[in-house]
Amino acid sequence: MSKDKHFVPSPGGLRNFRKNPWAVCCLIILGVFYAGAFLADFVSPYSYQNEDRSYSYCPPMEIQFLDEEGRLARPFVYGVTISFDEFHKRNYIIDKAEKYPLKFWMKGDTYQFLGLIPSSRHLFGVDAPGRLMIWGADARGRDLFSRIVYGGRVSLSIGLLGVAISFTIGLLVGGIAGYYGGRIDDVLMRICEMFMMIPGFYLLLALRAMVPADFNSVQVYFSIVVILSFIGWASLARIIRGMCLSIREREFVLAAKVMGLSDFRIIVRHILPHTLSYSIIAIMLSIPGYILAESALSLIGLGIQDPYASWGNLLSEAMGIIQINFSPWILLPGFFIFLAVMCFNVIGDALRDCLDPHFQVDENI
Amino acid sequence: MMLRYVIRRLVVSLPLLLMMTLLTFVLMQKTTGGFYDLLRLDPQISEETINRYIQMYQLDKPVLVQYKQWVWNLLRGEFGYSFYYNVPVVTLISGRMWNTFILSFCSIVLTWAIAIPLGIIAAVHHNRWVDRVIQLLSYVGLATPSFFLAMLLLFWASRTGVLPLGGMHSAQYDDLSFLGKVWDLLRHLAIPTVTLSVGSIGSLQRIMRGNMLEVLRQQYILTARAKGLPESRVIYRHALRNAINPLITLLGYEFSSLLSGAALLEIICSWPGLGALMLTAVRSKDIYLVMASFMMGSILFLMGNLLADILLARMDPRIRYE
Amino acid sequence: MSLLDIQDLTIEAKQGQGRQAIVDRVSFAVPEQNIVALVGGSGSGKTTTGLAVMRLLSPGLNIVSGRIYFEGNDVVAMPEGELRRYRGKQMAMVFQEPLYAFNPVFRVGCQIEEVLQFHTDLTKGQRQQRVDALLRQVEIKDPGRVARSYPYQLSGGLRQRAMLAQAIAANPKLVIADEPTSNLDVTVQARILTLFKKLRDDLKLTVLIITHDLGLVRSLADQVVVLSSGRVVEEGPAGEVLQHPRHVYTQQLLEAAK
Repeated sequence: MSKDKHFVPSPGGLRNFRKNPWAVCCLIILGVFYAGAFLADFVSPYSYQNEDRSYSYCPPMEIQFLDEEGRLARPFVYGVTISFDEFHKRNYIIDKAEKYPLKFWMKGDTYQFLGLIPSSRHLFGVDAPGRLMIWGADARGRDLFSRIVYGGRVSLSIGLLGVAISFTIGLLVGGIAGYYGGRIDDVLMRICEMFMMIPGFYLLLALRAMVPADFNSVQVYFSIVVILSFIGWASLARIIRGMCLSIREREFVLAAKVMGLSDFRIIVRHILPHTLSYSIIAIMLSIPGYILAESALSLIGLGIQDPYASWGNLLSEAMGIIQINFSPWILLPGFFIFLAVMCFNVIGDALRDCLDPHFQVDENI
Repeated sequence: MMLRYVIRRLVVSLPLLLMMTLLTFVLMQKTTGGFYDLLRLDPQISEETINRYIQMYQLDKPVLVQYKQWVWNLLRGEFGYSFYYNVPVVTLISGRMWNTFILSFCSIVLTWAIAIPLGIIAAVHHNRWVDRVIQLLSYVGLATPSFFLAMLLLFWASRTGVLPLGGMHSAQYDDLSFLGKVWDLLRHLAIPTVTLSVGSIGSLQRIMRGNMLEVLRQQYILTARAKGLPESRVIYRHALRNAINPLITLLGYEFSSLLSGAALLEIICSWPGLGALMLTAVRSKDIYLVMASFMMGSILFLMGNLLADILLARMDPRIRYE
Repeated sequence: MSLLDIQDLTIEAKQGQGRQAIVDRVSFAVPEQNIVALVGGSGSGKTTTGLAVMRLLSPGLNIVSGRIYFEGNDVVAMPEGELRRYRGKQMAMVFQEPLYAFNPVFRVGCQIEEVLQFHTDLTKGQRQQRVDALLRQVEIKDPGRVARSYPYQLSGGLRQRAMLAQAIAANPKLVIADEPTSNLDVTVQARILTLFKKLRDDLKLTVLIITHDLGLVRSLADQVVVLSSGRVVEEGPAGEVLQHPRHVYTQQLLEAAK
């Protein structure tokens, strides 16, 4: 059962990708996610920090399209009042007397677009004292929809950044090992194997323990990115090394050598570009691992900390059984993680089917 | 012949283990200045204990000496002291390790019990609707984050009350009969095991199906049919034996990924295992405990690998003679 | 009386949009206790015809029309369950590359014993004795060692003999051999061919040999059937066809064999 890796992409390539409806659909979904993450301040009705404890664990509010007489009306939400029953449990009662129409392009919490341009426009929302929480609220009364949109920023970006760093390291190590072969290859691959052999989650925790406690949130963010790359580079390096090993035997490499180009130049300008399509596939199929790792870390409180949102730490509220039982909407961030992972997998597999169905990517963590 | 093979594999694993200890130790040193300072800072530890530790770990000597001492101590079963729990690490680890092992073991059993038959069915009914349904389920199973699935299952359990909501034993555990205890354990194992297995089932099933498809194309399958053997014999004896061989090596890797995955699930399902212990240790910067758990995890993994290699050699005679 | 009578056999393969005839209205008969050689180049359809006799065609190939009569019974119309009783017991097959035709993870003796297990009522002890006897019959001098070996541990010649032993284990009437000597050394080839003849005489076997090697035909076959592109182009007694070939294709084959 030999797996002959010749790394020659099948003809037709990327054009076949467009024929795959699932893959295109997933690409669109991811596009929406990333667009939403980029424009998070605008898309979400409230800032991620906007809390109102009187709305703690408020259930999702339905947007009404029909008024009391059953006629089509401008979309609105009813107001909501709290009452406590005899067990001091909160009950949210819809107050039909108060109607808050949905407004678009409205003014809300201020923010700085791209960190530079101040603005307070939001895509949609309602005027105070009404509160529009289409997916419910968390313990502190923060709008879950807004938090999920902001959470996407962290969860989706950490994946990309982590992969970028891992990939760079992998490219270097794999390229050198694959090109030179022999002793260098042996040593480098042994090191790779060692990294791949350590139980991923344990290494994650151990490395996290090393991060000083007084780091602020930005530093924590970057430490996590670094830790994730530290774990993930090995499998990428292995793949790239395999590719280089097979590519270096090809004629154009020999031609470059004959022309007297330096090794470094040959690796960078001639060999690595040929690994491009496979690299993209490997990257697509690796990103889910990073997203899941960050979510896992944040879930147990070792990742992104409150008040910043990431899909993982949003789920940490759902760790308490009581909460899940009475407020199931706090499980929503999990569906987003699931969707994102699915989409990357589908796209990666579709790309692989287009280019080379026999390409193997190890799964890590 | 077998013994020589085992010894060879052990010899290769040793440098790896050594490198892991070095990595662990370097990580240890990088944290908060080292144990000497940690010990001094904690007001709960008596002067006597501190001195004992300085002696045991040569904390006042240069780093290399400390490393040698630490390895030496490890070999003697001396894993250090937990600041958080105030007991030697050894007592904590042994109990928890067993629990993690139970969970991982049950997960492997469940995974193989479901994935192998599914893979065979999918391969035998290649491209028909049974195959497609199984493929779809596997795909979704692979993509589902295990921690999320665990939460969903716990939500369902809390609504229906069918299964317990975490932990390992019920409150009345000690009063139950032997069978009662077993049943109680199984009920508590249900959610974590199922969650842990879902992803593995998806991936193992796909590999099994791929292997079966490839094996079924081979000449010896044609021969078996030409001999007039019943189709069940052709598939379950001739094809299966060849298709499963490569999967045996996966057992080792499965064990490792289980250790990782189990850690997170232990935390969510409140299963008292090694992973949950390590998390508490990390949260409280209980360094000796962190590193001992890390070492244990790595050793268990290496052992899993070795076991997988031995199994493979046993099943495929060609490997033994290389 | 023909043991095997193929009438108007047509087998098609699905190729992209259309269907292609791999075997096109092939008819010939194999008389009892004869050695008939089915000859042709690659792509002539000879292997497909041979596999069709035992209904072992791969999923993409379909018998579109025709009949295959084995002892008067039509194999083409037979249900699978009945067919399995014929395979191994009434008709057996020997393949080109025994290294791949034997299961690599089981010992050779065990695989031969399997035929006995499913086609006879012998006890385990009796089966093992019979395996021993079979291996001796195919002129293997150390049957115990060979039986205990794995396929990759044996030489090409030993493997092919073992494969023959497996084929004759349940006393079949017909043995189909697909290129039985193509992968063997020339010296070994000759000995295997002699073995075929001996078995034919001792066991009253009928043999259908599929081959492209006319030298083999010359030394072994009683009758010859020549296939080209799925059609029978010539048939007759071996001596006659080889001395006085009538079809152009047969002449070309003879030229190539020189």
